[in-house]
Amino acid sequence: MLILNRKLGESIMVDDRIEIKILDVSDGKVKIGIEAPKSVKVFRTEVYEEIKEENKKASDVSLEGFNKLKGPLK
Amino acid sequence: MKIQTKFLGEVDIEEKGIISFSEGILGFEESKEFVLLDIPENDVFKVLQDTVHDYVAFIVVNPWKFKGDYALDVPDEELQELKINKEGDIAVLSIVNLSDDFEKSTMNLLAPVIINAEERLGKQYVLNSQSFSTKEPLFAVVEKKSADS
Repeated sequence: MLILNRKLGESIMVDDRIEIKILDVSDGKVKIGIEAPKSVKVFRTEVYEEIKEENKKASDVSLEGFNKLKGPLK
Repeated sequence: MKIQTKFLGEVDIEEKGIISFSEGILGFEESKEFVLLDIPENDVFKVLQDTVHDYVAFIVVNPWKFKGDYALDVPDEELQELKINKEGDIAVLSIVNLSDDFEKSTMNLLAPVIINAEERLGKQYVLNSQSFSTKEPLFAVVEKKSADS
């Protein structure tokens, strides 16, 4: 992992097209601004973790649970 | 060709029905090839079955069947990746999380599965949206009604 020190208002350029700027630091929180083309996907890591978790749960269906789907829905 | 499935035993599928997911499904990165299977006597839900790993399968649904005002904005780059050129090429499915109490089942509207049925390409796309969650109740309206009564 590359580690850089940045001060408030300073930024980092990634791949010539993504700018990551430190907007605010207070109370143990860092506010980050990201400027990137629309095609670049930016998400909190938790979003991905949540989706992975949800996919795992969704795939964890018992045959018994599935069989309830067979037949006309009410 | 015959494949083993998670829910429906051995199923004979047409090879041209196999949909490639080059990035897999989030959390299931090894799963690159799926097929959509019908569920007997149920035309609402389908099974998205991994053709290689029989234990990987998802119940999926057309999200608009349960959420009429669902809307998604997929950038052109993503559409091109799936070789989608016109609206008719695109099929959108939501992965369902079945609950023991069926009425409490949810679907994932934040990360729909997008498929180009013609080219047989698919991916799970994460929407850049605050409006939809990974656990959208299928029967939100029904729940509300019963709470009112």
